[in-house]
This record gives sequence, structure tokens and C-alpha cells, in this order.
Amino acid sequence: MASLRSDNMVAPPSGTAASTAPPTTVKIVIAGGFAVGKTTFVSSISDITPLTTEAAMTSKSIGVDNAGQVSDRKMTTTVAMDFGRIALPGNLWLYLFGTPGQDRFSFMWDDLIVGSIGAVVLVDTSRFDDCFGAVDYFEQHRLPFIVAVNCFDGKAFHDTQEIRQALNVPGDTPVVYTDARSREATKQTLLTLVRHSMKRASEASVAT
Amino acid sequence: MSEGIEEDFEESRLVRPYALTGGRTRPSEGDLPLEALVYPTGDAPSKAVRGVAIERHKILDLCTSELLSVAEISAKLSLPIGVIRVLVSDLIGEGVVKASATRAQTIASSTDIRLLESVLNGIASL
Ligand SMILES: Nc1nc2c(ncn2[C@@H]2O[C@H](COP(=O)(O)OP(=O)(O)O)[C@@H](O)[C@H]2O)c(=O)[nH]1
Ligand SMILES: [Mg+2]
Repeated sequence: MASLRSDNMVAPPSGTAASTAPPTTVKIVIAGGFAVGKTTFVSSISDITPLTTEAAMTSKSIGVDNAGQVSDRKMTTTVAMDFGRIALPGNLWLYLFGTPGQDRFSFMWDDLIVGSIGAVVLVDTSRFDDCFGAVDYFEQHRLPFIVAVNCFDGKAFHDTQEIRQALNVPGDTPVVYTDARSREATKQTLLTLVRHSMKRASEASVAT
Repeated sequence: MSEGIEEDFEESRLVRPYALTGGRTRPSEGDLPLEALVYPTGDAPSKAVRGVAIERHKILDLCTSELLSVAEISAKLSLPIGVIRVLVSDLIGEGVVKASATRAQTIASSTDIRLLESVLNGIASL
């Protein structure tokens, strides 16, 4: 048995894995409607080219088929999710997960919000309703979030007060402008979220 | 009609990966966070040969060559997150790989003020 080991043993790769403590990982959710700029936002700051993965949800749906028979078939929905990764000083890795903002995808958010620092809800002001589901969901689940208006070509068609009213977000929720293509704007947006999450965390620790 | 074909295709594309997990959709031990990093324990090769699924070996190869999260393994192998979770949990149960964080740890860290401060300073320094 011992002879098996010597041949097949792989030394821990140096600089990765077992040779040093693995980085502490944290994550932030980037939610928003189709084509609002989630992938662009993640790419503008990620160390890696954003990757795409899929989550599948299977549910049973009872229906009546063409022949009038009651059918019981499985419905499967998949949602693609883009994500990126940023190495931060102090052996920290920050993951950014971009996910569609419609509430029919909320099965994926149940997973994403676990242990998440918070969420950035990206908004295109010409299509507000795309993000209502995400705003409601994060509020209900008490995940700290901010609203970031992606200003396509530097244009904002509404001021932040109008946006706040349209989305009916709580008074202390930051509503900011961003530019998904700009690394600096993305960075400032993430900083706003983390500050908001810190505020919420310190309020919670005082309250308990 | 073409719609029906697409649906069938979609279903088989999804059902096959779950055959790899023996139909299981939940991992054997607790949920693995999407961002948990998976790395070999060093016991890997001798134990992993017991695995039947080629995907188990692919997971092992991937995380031996590079430090990757559950989500990255899923993306690189083009398999749904749920499937990777089950397979990685099996490998953890067998002592072949380890994960850097549990679900409980990530929940605790998301409200850890000192960690949040490090994240804030880290992003500011970019
Ligand atoms: N002009 C302009 N185009 C943008 C901006 N953000 C995203 N886009 C473009 O809008 C399209 C959709 O963006 P994408 O990031 O893929 O959206 P997603 O569906 O939310 O991931 C792409 O063609 C982007 O290049 C922006 O701020 N300004
Ligand atoms: Mg996208």
C-alpha cells in the first residue's frame, strides 16, 4: 500500500494551496436587469476574465397536455451567472457575482446572499422595473444593498431623489451614479457598498 | 415543434450532469459556499483512484494546478454549481480535498467589522 504513495504523491504546489493558508474569501452580489451592465461592471475591476457558471432549478409543474391528460412534468430553469475575482492585500479574495435581477431567479439569490457582504443593484433608468424584484428581495432578507445607476454614455435621466422614490428604497440606502465601464467608478461603487455594510453591521452589534 | 425539441435538449443537458452525482442535488455535508476555495490535502492521488467519475479527477487536477473556488471549478468544467457541490463534498468526505470555508464561517465573516474594514481598505488601495 505504501508503495502506491511514493509514485503518485503530488507535492503541494508552491505558492498555492497547501503551502500557505488559503486566502479568506468574501463576496458581493451584483444584481440587475438584462443588459444593464453587470458583466461590464465585474470586468472593469476583476483580476480574471469573468467566468460564467450555471445554476439549475428543477420544479414540478402540474398541467394539462394537448390530449386533455393531466401531466406532471419537470420544469427546469437555468440561470447563467458571471463572476470575477479580485485579490486584495492581506490574503483576501473578493468575488463579484453578477446575477439577473428578476425575482423568478430568486432561487439563485437564496444561495448567493449566504455570507455575502452585500449587493449592488445596477439600474438602467429607462427600465426601472427590471430591478424591483431584486430590491424587494434584498430588503426582505435584510442584505445590505445600494442602488447604482449605470449612466450609459455619461447620461443620467433622473436625479437620485427621483430614483429613490421610484424604487421606494429605505432612506439610509445609498443611491449613487456609476459607470460600469470605468474601473474607478466601479471601485467607488464597491466602497460605498462596503461602507454601508459596515454601518449596518455596527448597528446590529450595538442592538444585540 | 421546434420548441419541444429545444426543451428536450435543455433537459438532457441538465439531467446528465446530475447522473454524475447519483441523482443527488444536495451535498453530503453542509452546503459549500460558492466562493470556498478547494485544495488538495496531499492524500489525493491514492484515494481518488477509487472514484468512478472522470469529473472527480478533473476537479482534482484543476485544484491541484491552481487555487480555485467552487464557482470557478463549475465554470471551468461547464457543470452546474449544484453538481460540483456534490462532487466536491464527496471528495472532502474522503479526505482528498479541503474547502477553505464553511457556510457558517462565511455567514459570520459577512458581518465581521474587522474583515469588512480590511475589504474596504483593500478596495481603496486598488
Ligand atoms: N455605452 C455604454 N454601454 C454599456 C455600459 N455598460 C454596459 N454597456 C454595454 O451594454 C451591453 C450589456 O452589458 P452587459 O455588461 O453585458 O450587461 P449584463 O447583461 O447586465 O451583464 C454591452 O454591450 C455593454 O458593452 C455603459 O455604461 N455605457
Ligand atoms: Mg451578463
